[in-house]
Amino acid sequence: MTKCNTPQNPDDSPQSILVKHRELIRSLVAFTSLTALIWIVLFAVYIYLPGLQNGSDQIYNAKEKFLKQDNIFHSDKKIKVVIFGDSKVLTGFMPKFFDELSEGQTESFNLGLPNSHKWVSRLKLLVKKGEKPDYVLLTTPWPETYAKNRLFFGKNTSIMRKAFPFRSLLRDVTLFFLRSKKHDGPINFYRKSIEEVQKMIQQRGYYFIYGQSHFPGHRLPENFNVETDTPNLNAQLRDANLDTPLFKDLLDLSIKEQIKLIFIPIYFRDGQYAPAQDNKLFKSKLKPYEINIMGPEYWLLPNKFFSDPMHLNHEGAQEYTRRLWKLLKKELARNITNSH
Amino acid sequence: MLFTSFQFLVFFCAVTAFFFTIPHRFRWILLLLSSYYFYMCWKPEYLVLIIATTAINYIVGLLLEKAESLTYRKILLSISLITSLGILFAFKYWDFFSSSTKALFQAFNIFIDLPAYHFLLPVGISFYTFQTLSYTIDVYQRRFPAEQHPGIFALYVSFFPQLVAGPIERSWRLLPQFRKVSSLDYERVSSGLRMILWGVIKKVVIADKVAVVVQTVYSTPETYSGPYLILATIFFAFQIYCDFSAYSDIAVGCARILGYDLMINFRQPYFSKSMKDFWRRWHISLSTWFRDYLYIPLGGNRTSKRKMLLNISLVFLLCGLWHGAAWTFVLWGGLHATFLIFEATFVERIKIGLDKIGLIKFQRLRRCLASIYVFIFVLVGWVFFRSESIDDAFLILKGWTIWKDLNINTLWSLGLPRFEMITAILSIFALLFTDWLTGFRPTFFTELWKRRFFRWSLYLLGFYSIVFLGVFKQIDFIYFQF
Repeated sequence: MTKCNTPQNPDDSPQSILVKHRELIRSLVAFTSLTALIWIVLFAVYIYLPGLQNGSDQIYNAKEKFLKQDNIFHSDKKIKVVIFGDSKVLTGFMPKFFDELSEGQTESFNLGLPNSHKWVSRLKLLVKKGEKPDYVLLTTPWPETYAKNRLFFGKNTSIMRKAFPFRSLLRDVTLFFLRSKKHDGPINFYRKSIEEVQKMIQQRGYYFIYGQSHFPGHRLPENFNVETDTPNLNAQLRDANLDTPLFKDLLDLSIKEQIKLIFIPIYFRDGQYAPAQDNKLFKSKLKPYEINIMGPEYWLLPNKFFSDPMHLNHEGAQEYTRRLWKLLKKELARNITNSH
Repeated sequence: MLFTSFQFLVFFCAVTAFFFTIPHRFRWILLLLSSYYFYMCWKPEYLVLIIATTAINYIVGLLLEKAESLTYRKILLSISLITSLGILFAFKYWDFFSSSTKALFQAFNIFIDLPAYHFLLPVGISFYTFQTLSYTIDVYQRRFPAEQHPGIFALYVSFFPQLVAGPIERSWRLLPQFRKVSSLDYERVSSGLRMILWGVIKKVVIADKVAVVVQTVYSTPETYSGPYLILATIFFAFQIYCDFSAYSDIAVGCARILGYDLMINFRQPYFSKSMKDFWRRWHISLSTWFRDYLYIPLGGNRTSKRKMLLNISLVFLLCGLWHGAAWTFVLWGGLHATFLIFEATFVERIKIGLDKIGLIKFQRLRRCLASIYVFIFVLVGWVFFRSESIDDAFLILKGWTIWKDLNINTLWSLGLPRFEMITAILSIFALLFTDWLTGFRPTFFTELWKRRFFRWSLYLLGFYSIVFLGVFKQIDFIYFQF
């Protein structure tokens, strides 16, 4: 191999390196500074104007904050019921209506969160705060494993989320201004967004996703369908891995704190799938652990109950909540009898 | 370790910092160890294959240099070809060969038992195998002297920016560069960073976003009507272009920062004026490899027309096979061969026809129509490239003609919400505009680029477009599977 022929620079001090690469260093510093400045502005907008965020994020942040800082239950005499799930649960279960149907015997809270299936940590937080529920209603099983919290070599998505919490700001602001036209301008719309989040807390976690509702009266047309509907096929049956540390922790917690876990039906549009089959396999898997599956895998509801292809409108939420009450009332009644 | 991961960012910054700190004579060691570490992040055991390929071809190269007898030289070349292609065949093609042979014999009611090994495909095997073969062939043909230094040769085989997805470099281009002393240079760093930025934008803002729609539609093509199948195929055309060219851009950019020049692998391919032109613009390192090491030795176009067409067919069938061990890839290659043969046979008549209808005068219109016709042909090919099976490919092509019962609601159920769908489409237009400017108005771009305000605005816009619009879930580069 030929020897290195680099002329020896007698002055290799840090100062001379800086001088030599002055232009490069200046450019890098200038670019970093400009980027940081823009970051600060965007972060400030994100923090001080939360009403600009999309509904899902506002709901998510507000619920998480409420869960950490406030009490979701106020009475020791009532049966405490919590429901976990994703946005379908968020828009499907009306806690106040459920409590009315139970004639005040229950105190329920909707902890459904958009795009979120990691509820075990939230249940643990409730227990830690002294707010352990008597019943936990589930539409989907627990996540496979615990989320790893590796700081720097973790997933790109979590690093980006931490470094740029305002990542969805462009999307949110665009949609905000587009939607504000239908709501008497941006200022009124902003005020309404904040009020909606507060209303969600007052509604004990129930939220109607206005942002995704594009049909008149928040109702899908009767003949609405999408090409991916499979009216002759069932939706995938629920299943879960019981051989994970996370499930073992959950089981220990439920036994120790006497929390009853119950799987309940989720909902789909009529025609989206074929009527649900019985999930015998999952039932038999869970039986030794006294985790119940009540009702079918899912209910098929008419289009009029939906505001968009995925989520229920108010009418639909009432119908879903009513069905859940009918399904659960005997089980809950046992608890009422026992406690009295 | 994907190029678009934070892990790679840390890795590359560390390598660059050390590279410009240590004396030149130690740099090959740093780069070689870094390259091996980079490769081991996928599957450490497969490093053995690269080392084996390196060792065999290094020794063969040295022996070829000294050998005088033609017979002996041919034997040495054969050893290199057999071992390198043998490893490639064993790990990539054996299961395909075994299942296809069994199916063929079963058609005649003969049942044979050939084992299947289900090896996990070593990342980049097709790339580094071809790169080493080009070296050995060049040494055999005395186009380039054998590399004496084993470390430099090992680095040539495994140089991390281009190890797993090219560009496939030639020995005479890359090897001498490892001996040149490079120092930190403002122009190289800024142009390298620009290429990396553009590559990351193409990958996370465009490719990974449209991939969602492509996956949704192509996984169950029977549920979608014509417009959605066409949309998904168009999205795939841009997914594969952005994905692959992004990798090449990032590879070239990283190498440039370190002081090395890798070849440009793409030149605005969707603005090609013919299928022949397309292959001068798409995956240039591979197409030139096949041209120089297969097509020209077979006679190229300096032979009878019939032989030339046969050569084209063979080259493109092998090119298809290079991309994957499946009949869909072979058919894709065969389709391109057909398109090229069609052009070679009828291009003069087409030109005469255009002249007769007066279209020959309208250069821009002709150019535009030519690009559209090439894009349509390429799109048909992509259906086979992307489909899970030949049956699915034909189902999709047939589905292109089904336009009744069009359901507009489905557009928003393809895996992307409205905003993301619209921004994905706008990004594709922005990409096409950028490609058009770069390819057809380079001076306009160069003049504008001299203005600092414009440059910096674009850098910031690019950076924040990644932040706002980028997809950061782990989605491998498509060409990793080759």
